[in-house]
Amino acid sequence: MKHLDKDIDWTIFEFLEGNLSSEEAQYVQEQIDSNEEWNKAHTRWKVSFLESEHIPYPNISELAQPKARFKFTRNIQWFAAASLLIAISWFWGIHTQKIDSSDRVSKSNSFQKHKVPLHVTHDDYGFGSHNSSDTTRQVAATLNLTHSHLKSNPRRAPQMASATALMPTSNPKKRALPVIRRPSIPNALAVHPSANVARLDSFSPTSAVRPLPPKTKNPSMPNASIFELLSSFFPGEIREEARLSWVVIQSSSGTELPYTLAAPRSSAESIYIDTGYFQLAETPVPIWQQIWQRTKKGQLPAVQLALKTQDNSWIPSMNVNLSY
Amino acid sequence: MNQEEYQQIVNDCADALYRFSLKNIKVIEEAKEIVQNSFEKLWIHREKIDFQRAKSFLFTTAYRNCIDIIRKQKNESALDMIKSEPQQHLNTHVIGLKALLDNALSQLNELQRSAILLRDYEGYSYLEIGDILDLNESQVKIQIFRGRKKLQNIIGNVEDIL
Repeated sequence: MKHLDKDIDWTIFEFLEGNLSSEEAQYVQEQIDSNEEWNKAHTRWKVSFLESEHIPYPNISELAQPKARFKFTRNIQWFAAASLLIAISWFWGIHTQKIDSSDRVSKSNSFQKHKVPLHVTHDDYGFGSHNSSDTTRQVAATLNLTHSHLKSNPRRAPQMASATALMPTSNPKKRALPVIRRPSIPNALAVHPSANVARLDSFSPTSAVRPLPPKTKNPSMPNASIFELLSSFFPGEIREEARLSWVVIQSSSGTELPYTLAAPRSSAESIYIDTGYFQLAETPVPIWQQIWQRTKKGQLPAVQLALKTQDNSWIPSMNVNLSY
Repeated sequence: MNQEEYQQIVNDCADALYRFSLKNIKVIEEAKEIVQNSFEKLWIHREKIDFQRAKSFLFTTAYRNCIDIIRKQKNESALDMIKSEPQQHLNTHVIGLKALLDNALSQLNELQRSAILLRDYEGYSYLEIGDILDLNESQVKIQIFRGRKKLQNIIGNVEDIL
């Protein structure tokens, strides 16, 4: 045991650490009790040993529920993913809704290649405060243009034949798209259409009770309404109370449009303007301006419009000269 | 380690881990954060960690977090202020032995302080402490001896204090 005396500090350290055997510990204890130097060293060393103390962790409840905490994180992730999905669905829904309405048009005719979805409300024609869906519904009711009606009108009989040719039918013989050329071109488009555009732009989307613009005999007058313009395209077919359903702009000269149609059925290119889509409030571009943009930008010198009737037949207009 | 074992570890070790962290870094919020992080890591790696090794894992994680924070504190020269505090306490004789020890403990290096804390508070063996501090048994023993010796020197004459 003498080696323990050589280094009192180390020995007492080992003693307090509990590293000595029972015999060695008993020897050290005797030395501490009997020897003042050992006793002082023991007291000094003993202070350096920390006494146990209890410090409670305040947030133990959070640790005890790890599942809930991680579940919450997982829920946040699911919530974010679901929100994103809903947002995408919403945007997609808006997009497909427009496509569906356009499809209604395309299903009823074979010119499905180049549609210009426009939504013309009654305000565009100055007819009152009906929304677009009302317009679509009322087109059939108010336009009331049927084959029987047209056939009863001998003046329109040749046009009816052309209109039937324009429209997709089950009869393949009627699927040809003849370019309709007429000797007389209405004076309505002899003027620069921008004049009409400016005039139509002045229509307010909120002008539900706006009175009709004053009629003029010459639709090329600056204050001519779109009703008058269309009346010039379809003489005798457009009445004031009528609602325009669809208008097809067709090249009468065979000039190609700058945009390519996938499978043009003839040299006459077609543009579809679905009035059910044109909303003045959202797109403050009147239908005529749309027509003009499509034709003028494409350097289309002459177009022909076709008016769709209740029984899905089409009434072609006279050729409209845009070579101004 | 399953859910029940994890809950048991939380109940058994949360307080000890908090005390260990608090004694090491002296900042309550950071000590809480260390405990939180340690248990979170334990939960994340619960599939790989045996129940028997969980406590050691917790203290190892907490020790490493403490080292990071202490080094950060050193960079901010915060330790200079801490070092000046014990001398004032010794001169004024207004604090007890426990507070004196706490202050003296803060003057040890991280290794010595952690070794003494694990030894005295947790009752770990040198081997277990070595696992946590990444030392062998002899090194742990030496670190504890030097740490206690340093504590003696800092505290001074015990009889005067008492």
